[in-house]
Amino acid sequence: MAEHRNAVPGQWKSLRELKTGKRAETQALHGSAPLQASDLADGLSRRRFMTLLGASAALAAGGCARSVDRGKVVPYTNRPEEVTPGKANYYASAWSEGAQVYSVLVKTREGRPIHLEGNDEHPAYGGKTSLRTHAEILNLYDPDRLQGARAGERELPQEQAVDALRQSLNGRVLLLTGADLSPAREALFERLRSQVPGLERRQWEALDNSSEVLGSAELFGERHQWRFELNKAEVVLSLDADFLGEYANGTSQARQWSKGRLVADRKAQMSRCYVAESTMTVTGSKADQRLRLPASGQAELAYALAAGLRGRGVPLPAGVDGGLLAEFRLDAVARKYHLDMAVLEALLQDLAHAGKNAAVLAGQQTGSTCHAAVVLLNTMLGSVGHCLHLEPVGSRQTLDAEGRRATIREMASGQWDTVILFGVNPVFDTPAAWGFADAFAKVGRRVSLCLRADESAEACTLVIPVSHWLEAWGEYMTPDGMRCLQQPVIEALHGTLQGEDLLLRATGLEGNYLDHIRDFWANQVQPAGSPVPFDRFWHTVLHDGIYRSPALAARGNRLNGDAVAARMRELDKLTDKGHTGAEVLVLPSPALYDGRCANVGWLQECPDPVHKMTWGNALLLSPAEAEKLHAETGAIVRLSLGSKSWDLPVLVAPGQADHVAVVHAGGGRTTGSVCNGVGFNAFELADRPETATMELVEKAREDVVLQTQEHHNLEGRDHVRLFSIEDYAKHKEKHYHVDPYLKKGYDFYPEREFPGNRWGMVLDLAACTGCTACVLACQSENNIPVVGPERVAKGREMHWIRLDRYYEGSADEPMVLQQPMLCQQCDNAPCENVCPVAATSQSEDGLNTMTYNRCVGTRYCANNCPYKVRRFNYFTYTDKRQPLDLAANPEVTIRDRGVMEKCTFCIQRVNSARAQAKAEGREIRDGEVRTACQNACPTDAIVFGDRNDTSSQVARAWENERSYRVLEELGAKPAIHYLADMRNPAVAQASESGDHDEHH
Amino acid sequence: MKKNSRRLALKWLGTALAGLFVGLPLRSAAHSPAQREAASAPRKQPSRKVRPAKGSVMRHG
Repeated sequence: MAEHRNAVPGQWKSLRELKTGKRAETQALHGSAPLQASDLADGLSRRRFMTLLGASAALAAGGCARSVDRGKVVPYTNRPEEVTPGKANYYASAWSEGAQVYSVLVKTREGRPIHLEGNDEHPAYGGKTSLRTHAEILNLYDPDRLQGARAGERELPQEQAVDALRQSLNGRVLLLTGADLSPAREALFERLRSQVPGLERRQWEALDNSSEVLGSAELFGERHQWRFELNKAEVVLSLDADFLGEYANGTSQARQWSKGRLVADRKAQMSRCYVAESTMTVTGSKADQRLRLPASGQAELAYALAAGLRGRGVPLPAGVDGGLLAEFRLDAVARKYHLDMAVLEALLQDLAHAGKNAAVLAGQQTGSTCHAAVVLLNTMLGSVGHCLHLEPVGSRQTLDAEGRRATIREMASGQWDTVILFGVNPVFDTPAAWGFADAFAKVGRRVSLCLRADESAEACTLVIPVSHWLEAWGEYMTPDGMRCLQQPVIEALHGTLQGEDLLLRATGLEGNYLDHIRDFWANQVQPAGSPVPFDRFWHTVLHDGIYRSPALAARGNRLNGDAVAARMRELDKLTDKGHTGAEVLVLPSPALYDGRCANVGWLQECPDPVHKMTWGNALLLSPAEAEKLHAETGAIVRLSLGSKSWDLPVLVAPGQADHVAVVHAGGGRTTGSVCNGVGFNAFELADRPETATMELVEKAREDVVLQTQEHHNLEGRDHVRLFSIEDYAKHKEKHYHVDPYLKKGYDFYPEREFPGNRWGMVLDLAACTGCTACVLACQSENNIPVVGPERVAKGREMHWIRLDRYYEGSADEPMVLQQPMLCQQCDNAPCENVCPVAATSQSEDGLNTMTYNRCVGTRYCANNCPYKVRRFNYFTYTDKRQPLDLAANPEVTIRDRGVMEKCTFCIQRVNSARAQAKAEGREIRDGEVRTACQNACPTDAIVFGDRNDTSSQVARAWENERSYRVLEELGAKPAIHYLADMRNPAVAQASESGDHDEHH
Repeated sequence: MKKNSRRLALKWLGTALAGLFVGLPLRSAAHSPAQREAASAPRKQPSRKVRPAKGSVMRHG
């Protein structure tokens, strides 16, 4: 009846599945699934049996003899005024990572931060935040944090450390900080310069995750960046810009983009997303039309599109040379890079048609030539000022590659007497070819103000620990005028000072950084002549976390035509090189970014949204490239760039462009108890002019690249459904699939009654980008432990929510489908029937609950669960190192060894809302209970609520025509509905995937 | 004699196993969620360190 593309046989999870047609069995054999009787060796003698029985009895007795430290419960009599035991307090704060500022709400219990969420008052976030923001909780409580200062091997008390810092502030002093979006901090450095005339501050970032237009200083006279309003865009073209992931602010961009993708009914319109990219990213996986194109080819495509638009009568901006542009032809680009001309034609037509409602974005790896083309394209379309805005970068003046190289040369030539590294780790994250470490060693006084003893701190003569941002004051301003205040929510755990305070003390300036920020805000931020007393203004902003001030005014963004022409001429030179090997691309890691937070176990174990790789990085090659080398995932390939070579593990990445080798940054740290030795340092390969040659040195092994995609397999049953918007609009009957037997009402079990609340969830696959923020939010909320790489290799990761990623189509040009899979809270739960001790049972409000202290660990439930969402504690995984125990959410039981666990629909949140409602004598309101994953989801793909309340959001979504249950034919009656994925392709899919259109 | 010692060994083994089967659930039942929570919470009166910082302003509690 329906025309959705069914899961089987079109969808596949890994190349092994695609080739063999068989679902992975490896994990079933030596993974989480227990051994079957047939797996045992034959001929077990009575004596052998007795020996085994005796030994197991002895082991069991020995193993159980452990004493649980039950601690001591002490009355909390001497408590701060605002703390009520058992009740969470929330504080608004903010932090920045690279060029991005995140406004957050910090949940604290008894004075300790335990969970982070986006600030609901901030218009860009609306309560959402990035996956790494969630992980900052673990970063705060990292046992590896430095607790005391040291000079060489000698430990220094804080006062002496400040004295030593004072002595270092002599002569020519270079202060290297990360990207800085704080005007108050900028003013602080000005003040410091009054005391230390030789001080110069430079902003050092390893990877640019901003939306800055590269080379914009030449194009406009000052540095500019894009700010997006993608909710207004009908057509989005991404040129290697992973705008739903690591390009600029993935969280707020995903929020905007998803607004144009809402499909409430058949008449709804969807925006169309074109992506041309070198490797499959989160954005590429949601594309309606995707093209495989290396980063070096993006500029050519962009200029050819501009030429095409001109051919359709779209005028060029004044001053831009049309003659040069005419040399770029779309058909020539299509031939050169083997692109589908039909898709390019459709793209050109869509862009011309959408005009100002089209947005073109280019990633940082495409270079300034492509960025100039994108400014040209957006100016031609008229979208500047509508879907995207050009704004000056403000105080964020990060060094570009040339600036960083010049700094290294200055260090090597002895221009600097002191170099202070403040929150940066350039010894690790600077391209090795630039020789940072050698140049740095030539500087006389080397100081590090850092959180942990990282690679750079090891090369320093003086190391002083600083406070984590959750223990420190700060402020930020983005060019759109939005200001955020950062306030400490806990006293410094190790008695540290924040770096700004250290510098203030060392220079002998009066007051601390808080006083400085307050003065700055009193004089610069609070509107002049305001009748509101400053203290009240300050408290209001601290309470809200945000304050909107006028946006930064651009001095003018008139495009310099000569600069564009110069870029076009450059392109000829660039493309004349020709391809002999593979171009190496170092990209930010979806979980670890550039490696600054690599010591956070949650992030190491977080599966990559597309490749599902954990604990480490790999060399990503296209299937064709890998085949040429006879390499498979897990093989070792020797990659040579000039005279240097590296042996790297391979991951064959479906959908990647040929002649491209992609590596994610963040691996290869040499310090830190968690990240030391995990993966390889991608920065060693960065910024080398040569193209790479590769050869196979070792055949594939299973344990080299850890991917979770084949764990917890649903055995090839029907899971993800997909419609094109055209098909969806055409057909009259309901799309969701109901099993014929269920339709007739055959059911083994009697219908259950849920008199009060009946909790349910709806997951919209069209909105889900697979960004994985939900996984981290769930991990933080529910005290989910990290198990480590050895156990991930056995399929024993503990995440309660996993994102199943399916491919459809060929390995070269697949379509990606994402499906979050968590406990379905079935009404007729197959896990409940098989539990011998009734440890899992149905609650009155429709939840499938676990009684941990009743569970004896038979794992029958996990075996019988068709959704494979139950997780077993094979060991005591919880890290007991101090102060990690403070990170635990006290509302959620910490599970011990031998216990089964799974998603609870955040039952602690349900119970707390129930208690609140009861105390106020009312029913629980719709939207009052929000699960951690729902709160984290930037695209609002998750809706949770009471199904008995027919007006609730979840009840309405439940009735959506795209709604279906996974494996409905089993009759388990899950409390989760999925809304089928929707795409808006311009050109019909290639026949390979189209073959499956008529299934069902 | 040989037969008897084997029987004795089996008896002991049986008793030990039965003890384990009965004892283990009881033992794990003794560790109620509340007790485990207490174990996960700060062990003693929260120290001076684990406190809200001075000057911060609460959103809501």
